Amino acid sequence: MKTLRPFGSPFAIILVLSSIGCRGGSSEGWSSRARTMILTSGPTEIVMSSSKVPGYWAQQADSEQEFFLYTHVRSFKKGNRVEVVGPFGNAFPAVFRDEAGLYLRGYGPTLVLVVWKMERSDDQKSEEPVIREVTDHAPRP
Amino acid sequence: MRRALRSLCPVLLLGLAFVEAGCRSGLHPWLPREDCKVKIISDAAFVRTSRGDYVDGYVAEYNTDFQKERMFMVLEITHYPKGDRLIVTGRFTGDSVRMPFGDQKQDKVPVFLVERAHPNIPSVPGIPTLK
Repeated sequence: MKTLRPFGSPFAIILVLSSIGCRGGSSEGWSSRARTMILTSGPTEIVMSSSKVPGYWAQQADSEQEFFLYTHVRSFKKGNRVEVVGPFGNAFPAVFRDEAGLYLRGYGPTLVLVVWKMERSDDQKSEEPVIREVTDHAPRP
Repeated sequence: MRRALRSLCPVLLLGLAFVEAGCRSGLHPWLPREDCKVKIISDAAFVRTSRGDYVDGYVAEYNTDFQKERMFMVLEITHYPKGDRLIVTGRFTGDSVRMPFGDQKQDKVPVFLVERAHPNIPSVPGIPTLK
C-alpha cells in the first residue's frame, strides 16, 4: 500500500486535469437552442467508430460553419432551410463527399449535431410537419 | 539498501505498466503514408484479414516498378464503382487478405488503409499551338 502512495497525488492531478479537459469544450455544444441551417446535401451518411451515421451536411445560416446533422429522417432535400435543435460536438468521422467523389478518413474535426427537432424554416414551412427524433441517438451499425 | 529498493519500486512498476500496455496494444510498426494511383478492379467487398479484422473495401491495381500489383484498399464508406481510377493516400498495414483470382487460386493481397481518396482525372496535356 505504501508503494502506491507516491502515485496518489499525480494520479489525482491527472484525474482533475482530464475532468477539466472533458468539460472544458465549448459550452455552446451542449446548448439546445434552435439554429437555422441550409442543407448542403441530400440524405447521406458518415462513419464513426465503424458505425454508419445517417444525416445531412448543413451550413449554419449566420456563421457559415459546417455541421453534420445526425438524423434518421430522409424527407428533406438539398437547399432546404431548416431550424434544428440538438447538442453537438467534434468528431473525426470518415466522410464521402458525393459532389467531389472525395473520401476522407479522420481528417480534421467535423461538427456533428444530434438532431432532437428539425423543421423547415422557409416559405413551405406550413406544408411540412415538425419532425422530432424520438429514437435513441446511438449510432447504428 | 531497503531505501534504494523502495524508491526503485514505483519506477519498476511504471516500467512494467508501459511494457504491458505495449504488448497488449494492437500497434504495429509505423509505416510511412504514401500516394498511389490505383484502378478499382472489384466491387465493394467485406472481408476478413489474416489478422482477423473485418474490413470494407475494394481490390485495386497499381503500378510499381513498371509492374502491376494488387492491393486490398480499405475504406469505411464504399461509394466508388468498379473501374474508377483514384489517387489514394494511406499506408500498407502489413496485413493481408486471401482473394480468389482467375483460376480460383487464392492470392495473398496486401491491405492498404486509405485515409484520403479522390478521382484521378488526368489533365489535358498543354500542346503548343502551331504558328
